[in-house]
Amino acid sequence: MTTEQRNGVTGIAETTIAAFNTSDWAQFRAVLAPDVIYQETGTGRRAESADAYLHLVQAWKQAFPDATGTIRNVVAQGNTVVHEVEWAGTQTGDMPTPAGVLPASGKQIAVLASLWYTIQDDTIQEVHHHLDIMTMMAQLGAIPAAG
Amino acid sequence: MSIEANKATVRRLYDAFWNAEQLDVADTLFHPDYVFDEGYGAGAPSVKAMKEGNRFWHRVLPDIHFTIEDMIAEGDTVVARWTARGAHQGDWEMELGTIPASGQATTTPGTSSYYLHDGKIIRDENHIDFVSLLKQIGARIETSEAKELPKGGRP
Repeated sequence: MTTEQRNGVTGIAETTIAAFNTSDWAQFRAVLAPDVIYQETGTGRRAESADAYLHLVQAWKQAFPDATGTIRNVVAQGNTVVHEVEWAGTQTGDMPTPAGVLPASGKQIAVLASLWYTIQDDTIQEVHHHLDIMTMMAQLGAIPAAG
Repeated sequence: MSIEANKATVRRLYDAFWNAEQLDVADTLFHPDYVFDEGYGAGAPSVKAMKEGNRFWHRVLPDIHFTIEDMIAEGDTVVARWTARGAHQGDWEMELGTIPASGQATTTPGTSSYYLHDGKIIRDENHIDFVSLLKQIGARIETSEAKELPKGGRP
């Protein structure tokens, strides 16, 4: 993989994080394939279009309006990019969870996640988001913290 | 070490250490200063603890089998996306109590990042869909009275 190729695919992946952080949904959508597949573990949610994916992402922003992602590490090979991300924010909106809807708690979260992107023709075709929902729920006070 | 050598090390971790239960292979795959983090749950700050974790999960899911769905590497970092399958045939003991064996077949996705030093794994970070696993074995996650919840255990 040449440096130019790497910069190409990693730049596309990073665009989604930057766009999420500033709630620039036009920018976010611009790098998605129209039929992008998004799978979110922990919640079990799945989207099979750019519209559906955006809907899920925007829902996170509704629950955590100040949420931002910080990329901790990037690994790229071929047309696959993996981000290790830390998501941080304050829950000032209701949040659907596997255990029901959590009302706004005002509490802050800082959770780690991995995002796997498959990129082709300069657009994101598939995303697997492995999110530590258990830690998030513990930080929100919904379940006991890990001992 | 080359990228392909590092990937082979990680592949052997799944094939030999986890799927074939060859615990002693850990001594060749992990750096003596190995530490890991799997998010929610107790960490295992040593190779010895990693072996105990292997025994734990083979008690809870005796036929546990990991399938690597995708793996990429760059430099001394290898990341793997995997699926663990196994039947819940052993009691899952945890601080809050015990989830008795349900007999349920389970499918759990996860991803792991491995950092290697001199060809051996010195640190890893894991994101495992414990929520899905708990639901599959019939555990209820209650936000008002958290009862059947894990405080430890890891693949």
